[in-house]
Amino acid sequence: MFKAVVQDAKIWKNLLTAISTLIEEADFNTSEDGLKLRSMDPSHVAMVDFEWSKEAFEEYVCDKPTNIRVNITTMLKLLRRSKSEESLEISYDEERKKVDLTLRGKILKKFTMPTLESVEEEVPTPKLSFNARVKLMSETLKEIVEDSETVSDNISFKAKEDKLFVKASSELSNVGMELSKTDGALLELDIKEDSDATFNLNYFGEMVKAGSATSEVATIEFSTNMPIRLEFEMSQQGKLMYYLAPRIEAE
Amino acid sequence: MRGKSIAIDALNAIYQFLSIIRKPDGALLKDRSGRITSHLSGLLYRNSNLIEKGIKPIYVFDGKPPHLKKTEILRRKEIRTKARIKYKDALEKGDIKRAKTYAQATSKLEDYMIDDSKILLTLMGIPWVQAPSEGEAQAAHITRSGNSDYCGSQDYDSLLFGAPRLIRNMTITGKRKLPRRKAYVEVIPEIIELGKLLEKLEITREQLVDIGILLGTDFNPKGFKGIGPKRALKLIRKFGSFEKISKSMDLESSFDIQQIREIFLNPKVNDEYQIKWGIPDNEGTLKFLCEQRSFSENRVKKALSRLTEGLSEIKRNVTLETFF
Repeated sequence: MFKAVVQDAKIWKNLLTAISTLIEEADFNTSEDGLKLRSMDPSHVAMVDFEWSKEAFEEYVCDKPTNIRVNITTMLKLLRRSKSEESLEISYDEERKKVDLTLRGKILKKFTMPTLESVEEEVPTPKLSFNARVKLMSETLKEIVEDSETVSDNISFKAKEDKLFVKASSELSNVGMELSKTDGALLELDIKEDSDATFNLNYFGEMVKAGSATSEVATIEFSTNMPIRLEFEMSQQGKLMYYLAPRIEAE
Repeated sequence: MRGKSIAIDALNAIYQFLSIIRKPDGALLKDRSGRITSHLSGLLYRNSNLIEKGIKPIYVFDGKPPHLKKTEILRRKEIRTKARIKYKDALEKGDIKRAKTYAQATSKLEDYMIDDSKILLTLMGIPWVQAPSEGEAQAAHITRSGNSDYCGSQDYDSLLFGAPRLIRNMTITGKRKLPRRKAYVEVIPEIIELGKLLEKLEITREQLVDIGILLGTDFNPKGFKGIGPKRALKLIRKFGSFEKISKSMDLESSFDIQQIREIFLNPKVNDEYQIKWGIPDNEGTLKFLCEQRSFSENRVKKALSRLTEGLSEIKRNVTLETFF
């Protein structure tokens, strides 16, 4: 059997929102230690890697590893009106092949939703090393994204010396930004090697906006013309990471 | 659909071009020396449109047809011969409209058209794959192996070959002329997912193949008299397989059912193929189409510039797997 209780239903709702920016259906892999979800978006440009250890739950029971495939959009729809003061219990009934979502607040609400046939989907393990690591407030990252969105569909990051340079340009206009620790824009900056890469802003923007709701602090890691990793730290024992492939200019 | 790839049954597409891309009296487009070029025009413009929208086509060419297809090939030949006689008759009588209708049924694929199509695709930087046998089987195989997102064909056969996702009705204009009328209907691309289809019908793929055989396939064109789609589904659900239906209804079949099943379920396919979208060879394409096949330079240049921009945009968007 599988049963997990989240104290604050809204946190779960925000996490689901963050996952649903990329994918519609996915497998939750449950085990004794916690819950994992890793899936690529249909065009294989981006990936979400989500993990919540059992300690992050108020209560967690899982007697055998199970893959529970659900439609994330459906689950999100059911929980759309959940509130912070409600707790959420997620349980899976193997025989009925249904997921029950129980919200406990002033009213006890129990939603039931179907699970989906597990499809054999190979999700590769990302093996990447990064030359630049930048830690900053989620709000700061959101600001960079929103400013870039005013001029372009792409965003470029460049890490050099003690600064992070952000650039977005279209045919007619462009924006350049400079962030450093000394100016207070960055929390941490580690550069092993100068790095420079460009990403699709539709994807990156969505990730940043949805991820920001789950954490106040964000970390981005990248290398020249390699995928970027965007991580949102959570105070509890969990992590939400995104990977996004770079855009590479054709020679 | 942006970013999605489609394995297109090449001959199916070329036939479509040969029947649609014609002058008002039904004559095909030809170059100075009389070679037909309707299919080249179709390939150039449809692909520029698809690629401009970020959709990545892969063309799959038929190889040697299975022996069992002989009857069907002869049947098609007969239709063409009859249509050709009627076309000539209509032309002689000056009935242009009727002539065009018959002309569309005369389309015959010559080897040089296939060669020309392959040359053009290569010049345009679009990948094509040679199937050992049926093109739709190879396209389904490529899609099942995850090297393409969809199969593109007008024939439902693709589903029998196991195509997980089929797209029908890919057109340039988004509309199609109704036969023998001056009216157009809007054509919306149709996506069929095999898994969902089987789930909805509550049958297996093997049973879907049996339904196909009951209705008639390229390998037993006649099917069975009095059995339409609804009845076939009902029978399969009731009896489970062709053999059991055949036994209880005393169906007479002159063909080897097991052989036809094999063609659909275990078709001859090729694993040695490469799928890569390149950068179009502008100079080469212009030389081939304008100098050798009498295309208008202006129009080809316009199509090429859309193609080049589209292909370089495709190249900029790499997938994550490239790095893992």
